[in-house]
Parts: sequence; C-alpha cells; structure tokens
Amino acid sequence: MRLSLPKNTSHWRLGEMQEIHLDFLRLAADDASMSDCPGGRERLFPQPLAGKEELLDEEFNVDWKELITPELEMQFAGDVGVVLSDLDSIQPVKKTGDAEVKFYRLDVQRAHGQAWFSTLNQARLLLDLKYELHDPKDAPQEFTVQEQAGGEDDPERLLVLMRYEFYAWIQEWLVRNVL
Amino acid sequence: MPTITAPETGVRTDVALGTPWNVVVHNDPVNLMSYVAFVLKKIFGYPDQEAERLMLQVHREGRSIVWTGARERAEHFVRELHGHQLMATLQQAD
Repeated sequence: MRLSLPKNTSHWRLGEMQEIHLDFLRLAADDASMSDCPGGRERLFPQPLAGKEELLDEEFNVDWKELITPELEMQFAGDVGVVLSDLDSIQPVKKTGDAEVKFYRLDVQRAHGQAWFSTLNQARLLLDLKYELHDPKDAPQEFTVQEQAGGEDDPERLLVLMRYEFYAWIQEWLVRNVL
Repeated sequence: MPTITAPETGVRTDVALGTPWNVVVHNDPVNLMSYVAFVLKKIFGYPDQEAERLMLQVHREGRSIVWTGARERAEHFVRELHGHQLMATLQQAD
C-alpha cells in the first residue's frame, strides 16, 4: 500500500491497496464505536474541570456535558460518516504482471483529511481501551504496547494490534502531508 | 427608616473573571507526538519550536500548561483541544 499526493489535484491517494487494507479500513468505523466500550465516553468527552477546580464549580462540568458534549458527539460521528462515504469510492486497479493479486485505489479530498484523522484516532483511542493495549500501571512517559498477549494464542488481539499500527501509520502521514 | 444593604455583586471569588486560568494538556498513550505538536500550533498559533517544547513536556512530564489567561478564552481552548481528541483541563493559576 502506498499513500501519495498526486500533483495538481485536490486529493490524496491510498494506492496499491490489497484486500487486507480494505478490510482494515472498513473496520475503522466499528473500531471507533463506543457500543462495547464503557470507558469510551469518558475518554472522548472528558470533563474540563478536575480536582479542586471541580469542587469549586461542580455545575460547570454538568453544563459542559449538556452543551459541549453533544456538539463533539455530532462532530466525531460526522467524521466517521465522511470516511464511510469515501470508502464507497474505492476502485479496483488493473496491474500488469501479477494477475493473482488484486489492487485497489481510493482518492480522498484533501478537505477530508481531518475527518480521516479523527476517525482513525477515535478507533485507536477506543481499541486501546477495549483491549488494554497500554498498561495503565506504566508511568505516563513509559507507555509501551503490550504485545506479549498477542501471537497464536490470541489471533484477535494480534489483528487489533495490526489495525492499531496501520491506522497510526496513515495518521502520521496525514499529519505530515495533508493536515 | 429602612435598612440599606449593599447589593450582592454576583461574582464568586473562586471563578472571578480576573483570576487567570491555565489550560493543561495531559499525556495519553495514543495520540501521536507529531499530532499533539500540530494541534498546539493550530489552536494557539505557536511557532514550531514552542509547540515541540510543550509537546515534549506533555510526553515526558505527563502534562503541560499550554496557555494561561482569562477563563472564557481558556474554556474555548479546552473545547478546541477536546475537539481534537486531546486530554485537556482547566486549572486555576497559582
């Protein structure tokens, strides 16, 4: 798979994709779902006041939850919707030389870059919570992905780790080239 | 003769407008370092070097005060940071 910015266009391209890349991209919306992630709301919609500030102004967090949180919910859901809509435009690409391997391409408007980043970020934030990819006991500056639980004994977790890293790779490229 | 009492100002000393507030960004294991720096540049208009310094402070120390000023603007910045999925809180400045 290759990410690129075609010259003189208003889009960026996900090129030379194979079936596994499409599968991963289509799973991003599911991964970004909070339906089976109790801690998801707390992470995506955190309270603005904590500690002694919260005690001094308890009503503020309540107001925030009523006024700001719904706006953010709409914004984040809209971002996922943009990605799902873009994924409908995936095109198969004919490649000479290797007829056995199918390749695909997707051109995405540059203006959708932030929505893609947001969706992949939501997916990674929630995967991290659902599968406890980082040990909460670690000091803040010492987070390491807990890969020891992956491998043959837990193929689902291995696939989760692969998606987590795949999304991060696209995000890193988006920050440097599109956003 | 009626007793005249001073009217209440309605301003609570703990959230008085004159008190400066900090916008604090907290570390999390998921957000990319490059993205945190990008968001700090975008929202606060910091130059590359300052955004990088604050991002590294978040990463190494777990948190960083990225802006200090009036409460209303601080609330706006926290809302923007949450909109970019960063962990951020408001904190009264010392």
